[in-house]
Amino acid sequence: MVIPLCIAVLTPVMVHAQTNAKDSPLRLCEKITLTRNVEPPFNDTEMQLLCGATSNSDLEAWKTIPRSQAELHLKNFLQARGYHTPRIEKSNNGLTIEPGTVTHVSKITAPAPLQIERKREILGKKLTPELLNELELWSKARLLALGFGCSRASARADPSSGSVELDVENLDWDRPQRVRAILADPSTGLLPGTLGRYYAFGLGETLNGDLLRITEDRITHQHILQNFRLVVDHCNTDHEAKNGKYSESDTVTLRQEALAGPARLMAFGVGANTEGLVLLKASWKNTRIGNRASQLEFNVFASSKEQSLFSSAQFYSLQFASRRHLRPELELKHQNEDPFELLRAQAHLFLATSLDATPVSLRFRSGPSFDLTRTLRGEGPRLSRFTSLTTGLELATHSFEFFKSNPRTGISATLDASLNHKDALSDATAQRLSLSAHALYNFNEYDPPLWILGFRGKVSTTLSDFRPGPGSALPPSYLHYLGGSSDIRGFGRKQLPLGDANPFGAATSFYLGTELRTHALLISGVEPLMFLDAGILSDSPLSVDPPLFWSPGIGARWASPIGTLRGTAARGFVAGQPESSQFQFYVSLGEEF
Amino acid sequence: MEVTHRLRRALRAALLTLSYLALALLLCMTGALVLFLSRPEILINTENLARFTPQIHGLLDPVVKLRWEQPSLSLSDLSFTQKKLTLKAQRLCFHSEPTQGCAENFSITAVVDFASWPPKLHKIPEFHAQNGVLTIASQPTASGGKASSPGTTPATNVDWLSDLTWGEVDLTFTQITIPELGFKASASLKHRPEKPAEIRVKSDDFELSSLLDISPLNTTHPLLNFKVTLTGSVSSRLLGLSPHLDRLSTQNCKLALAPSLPPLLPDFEARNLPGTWLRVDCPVSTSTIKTKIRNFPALGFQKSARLHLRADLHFRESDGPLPDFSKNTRAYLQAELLPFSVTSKHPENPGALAHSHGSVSAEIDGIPTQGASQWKGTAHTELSVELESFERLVTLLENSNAEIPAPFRVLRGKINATLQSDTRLGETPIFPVKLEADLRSETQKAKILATARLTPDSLDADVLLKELTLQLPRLRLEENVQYLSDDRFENPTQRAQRDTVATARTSLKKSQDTKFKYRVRIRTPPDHPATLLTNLSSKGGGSPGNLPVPVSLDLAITDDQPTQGSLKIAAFPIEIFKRRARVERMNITFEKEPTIDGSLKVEYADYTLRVLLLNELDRPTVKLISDPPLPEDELYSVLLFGVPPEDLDEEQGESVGGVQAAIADRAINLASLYLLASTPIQSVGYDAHLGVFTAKLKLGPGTSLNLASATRETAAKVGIRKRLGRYWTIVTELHGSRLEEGSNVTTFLEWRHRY
Repeated sequence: MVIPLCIAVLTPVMVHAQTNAKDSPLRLCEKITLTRNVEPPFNDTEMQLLCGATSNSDLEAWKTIPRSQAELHLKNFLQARGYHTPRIEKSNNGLTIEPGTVTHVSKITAPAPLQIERKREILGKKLTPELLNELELWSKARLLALGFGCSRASARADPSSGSVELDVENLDWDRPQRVRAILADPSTGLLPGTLGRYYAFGLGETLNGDLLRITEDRITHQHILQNFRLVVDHCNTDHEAKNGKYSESDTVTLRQEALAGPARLMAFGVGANTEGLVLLKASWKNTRIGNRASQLEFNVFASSKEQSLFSSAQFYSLQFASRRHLRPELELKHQNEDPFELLRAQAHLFLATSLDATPVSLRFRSGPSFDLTRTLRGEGPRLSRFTSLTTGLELATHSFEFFKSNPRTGISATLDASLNHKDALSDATAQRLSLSAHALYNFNEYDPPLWILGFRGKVSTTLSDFRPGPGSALPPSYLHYLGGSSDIRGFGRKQLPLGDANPFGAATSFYLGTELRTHALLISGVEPLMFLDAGILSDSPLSVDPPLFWSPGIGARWASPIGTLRGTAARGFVAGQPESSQFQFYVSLGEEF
Repeated sequence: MEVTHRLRRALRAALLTLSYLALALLLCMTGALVLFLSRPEILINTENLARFTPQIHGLLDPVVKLRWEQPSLSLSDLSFTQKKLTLKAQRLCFHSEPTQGCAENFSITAVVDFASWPPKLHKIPEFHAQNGVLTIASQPTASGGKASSPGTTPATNVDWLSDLTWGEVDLTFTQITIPELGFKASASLKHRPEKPAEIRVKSDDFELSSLLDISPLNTTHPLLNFKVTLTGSVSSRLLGLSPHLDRLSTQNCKLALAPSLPPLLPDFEARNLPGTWLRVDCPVSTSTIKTKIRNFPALGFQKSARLHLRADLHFRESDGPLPDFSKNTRAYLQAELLPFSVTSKHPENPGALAHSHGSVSAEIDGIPTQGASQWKGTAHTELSVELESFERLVTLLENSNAEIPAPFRVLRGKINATLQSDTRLGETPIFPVKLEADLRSETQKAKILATARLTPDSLDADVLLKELTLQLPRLRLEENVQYLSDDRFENPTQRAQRDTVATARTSLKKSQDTKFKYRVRIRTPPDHPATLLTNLSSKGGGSPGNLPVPVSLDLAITDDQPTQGSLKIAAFPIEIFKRRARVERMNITFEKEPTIDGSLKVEYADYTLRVLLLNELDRPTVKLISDPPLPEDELYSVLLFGVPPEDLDEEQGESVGGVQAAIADRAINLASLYLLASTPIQSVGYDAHLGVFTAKLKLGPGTSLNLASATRETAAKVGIRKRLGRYWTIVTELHGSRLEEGSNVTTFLEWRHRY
């Protein structure tokens, strides 16, 4: 109560003081007076060119700047700050400058295909050369995304009205360019076409700058190369293809630019979250084995909840460039969750591949797995063995992948299945299935977004004759839980099913959550959000049993310099059990809805 | 016989009668003549004049229409045969194309000698006219009198004038008008015998008095012997001169016309030719100069500028009393501008500012009645201007629109300019101009020699920077400063004006003949480059201790082509990439597009590395070569971070890649490249698609600078990694198997190292 009162009293005073300071004349130097301050203040170089070098400077030739020269500089400096109509009074005593008002952008016109109406936070901004640069760059990116690799937009502005005009000369919007060829960078030492497995586009497809960026990120994010870029080498404008479906004049040739860097990568990491407390990790990875860039990695991870050793490899052994590869994985893990504690060893041998077909990418892997689990605490067999056929299918739109670091739009879905039989080196027959999906909608496709509406859901079930509970042959890893920042945020991590009623996991879990986030900021950089999560579980496969767990909540997201910081506050409700409701708070770094 | 006798007697009587009659007639005539000579007023009197006025008018009308009122005629005896005849009239008006006029009071007195027949004028009559009004049309009307054909002078026999002496003339015109010229003036002519005639003409724009001395030096052509001494003034407005001048005055301007005169100007080749000479010897001065010029109130001009005009004109012999302008004429003219000084009255630095002097001489040969374009001859022009004090000029121009900008304003010294010309008439005049400047300050100097050929439609100049040292301002490239106006900002009016100018230029380009053409070559001597003092040649980051940068220039600036030539920065030491290096060369060639050819040499213990800058100046191609040869990525690694690639951390590796990509894409301009080279790099990023170059530079302990040409939401980097510094990264990743319920997104602070 006291704080809001202080704010209410002090704010007008502070604003008044600030206004006065802003409006009071500012004597830049002996001969130059500003009737009002300008933002941002002039920097040292500008001050030198306005008022001359300081008296203790050795620049005797620049100690005095004549009035007309200072006036010329001043007009340029004010223009850079959005003051386009300064009124300058000359007198023998120097210059008195009334900076005038800052011109703000009142209107933007651009060719319709650019969809300039999607560009937000431009109207009302200061009309400065920097803003025009920004618009030109934005337009260039849009042009690249629309398939025009060698075109650029030029911006012009009317400082009196604040209107901005973007113009693209000599462009046939109906004929976007297609990728004709990609020139390999021989410095990588890789066989030609090797990097093609990461391409989000194919030859002959329409050029799309966003897909080039996704490609680059796939390669660098997996550490294949230390640095990789795909740039437009040239646009073909001279002759027609003889038998191609498209004109040569509508094609571009791309060029790889790579810095391979050393192949071996060693990393040590430390992290924290409200679930695992302190997290430690170490990894070693050989990012390029052979001229097909196979990979091998070892990871060690430790938190209060889990300690694990994990190694995997991706072997590209075919004689030709292909996305198909063998992916063996080996993991040793100790897990200490509230409902259980176990030791687990897993081995997989996947055959994996991927496919990109605009606008989606598809990843698939499948292969035999061996899972040996020793349950140290909680119900379940003390030792269980499963030999399974494990399959995973991931589908994501390119837009989802493009905005991975700052989610705003796109769809992704994942289907996982682990199939086994007790007669095939398994202690029990238990088919574990999981389907999750994630969809984000950017209202009006604004850039930056104004409202983002997201949905996510997951259905997990284990098809088995065994039910969770005493005597079950299913270890905790074959059971399903809800609760935590990744699903129902009104409950604690893996809190559901609720322990008192059912200390075991569920055979089936169903989760659906929605979140509405806005970029209409209350505080700069912080995006408020509200959400509603709901889930239901069952002891039986492919069924649901009451109660329904749901939790509304609010929170905030801040894209901090070190990653996305999110905080949520939610109240978890159990349908029909009002006494079981609870508050749950989460703070996470890097996690997104 | 009787008849014969009678006839004889009758004949004798008739003869006798006739003789008596003749004698009587003779006596009568003699008496009448004596009576007329003794009393001429019997016939020549006012009554008879009035009676015969119509007949007189009719007689004179073909020549001049003369009308008068209240004429009176009086005669007085000077001797028996010489009579003084005085005609007086009121409102006498005459009209003889192209002239007409009236005089309120008019009298003419003449002495007539009746001793011979016809009577002769004994001397030129005395004229007296008061309150006259005279109007002179420049072109006679069609109905007017005869107009003499151009190029011919009527040959008039004026022998009868040879024995005359000038009588007294007293004419007063209150208004003389030449309507076509807008000329109005009052004038008077007074002449007393044996004294020079005094002529006065006065109007708002000029006042002229002259003493006309006609000496009967030549009995054949008395009008060809006269001397005129003019004194008067003419307003500059009438002459179309600068409004800063008030009036032009002359005192004792001597004009002489004679068959033979000693040459005034000894160089005149035609001085021994027979004919008629006209001599002009006139000192001319500006009566006053408006000393207050609006923009330069402290500029003081010498009160009076003085010219001395002298000319010898030679006319071929003619048949008449006046020079025949239809014949070839030669003239030698000379105008000398006597020293003229300009001073500064600025209170901070008063004193002499500049002075000038000059002369123009010309020898002309041509027919005056033909146009000047037909004349031939030569003209020699000399004009010298010396700016005595550049610093005084700086002070004087303070707060004007022509202020001397920094860093030139601290220079001190003199500037001399001379203009000389030897021109043939009929040809395009060429004015060789020479300008010498010798200016200095504590750290700067400018010794410049400029020569130029100036014509009315062209300028060809050669500016030699014999010695030039200039101080540049302290530039901090890391600070965002807009040095030039951004022409992308235009309001509709400005845009319309620009389009209009562009259209005008286009049309002007089509008619190149009317365009002033210029070519200015600016160069430094081959062995003496200009020197620039700049902090950019120091250790970087704006620290003091500038190293002079030698710059050789040879640029040609023309009206119709982009600047051409070269700018060469000679070898000089520099500290870049955190070690001593040397700029071996930096040649910028200006052709259609400016190109660069530069080489920086960086010495390492085991090898020498060279950075070559090639091709376009705006987006140079950068090549790294080494001796012995190293792989390209190693060259960049060594250059930027001083270590081979295997010793780079991941961030540095990405920076090397960024720089390499940006350089390969020619996305780094020279300023950014210099900043990169001179400032410790923390990280460099490059968005190849947008051509956006970003750099994080270490400016000092705990201080870093982020440079980015622009930021854009959609340009946000894909991926969930953020660099914190050398080896350290924030990484967000999915931890755990997707098949497990325990999988989760986790963020780590990672130490990463590639090897």
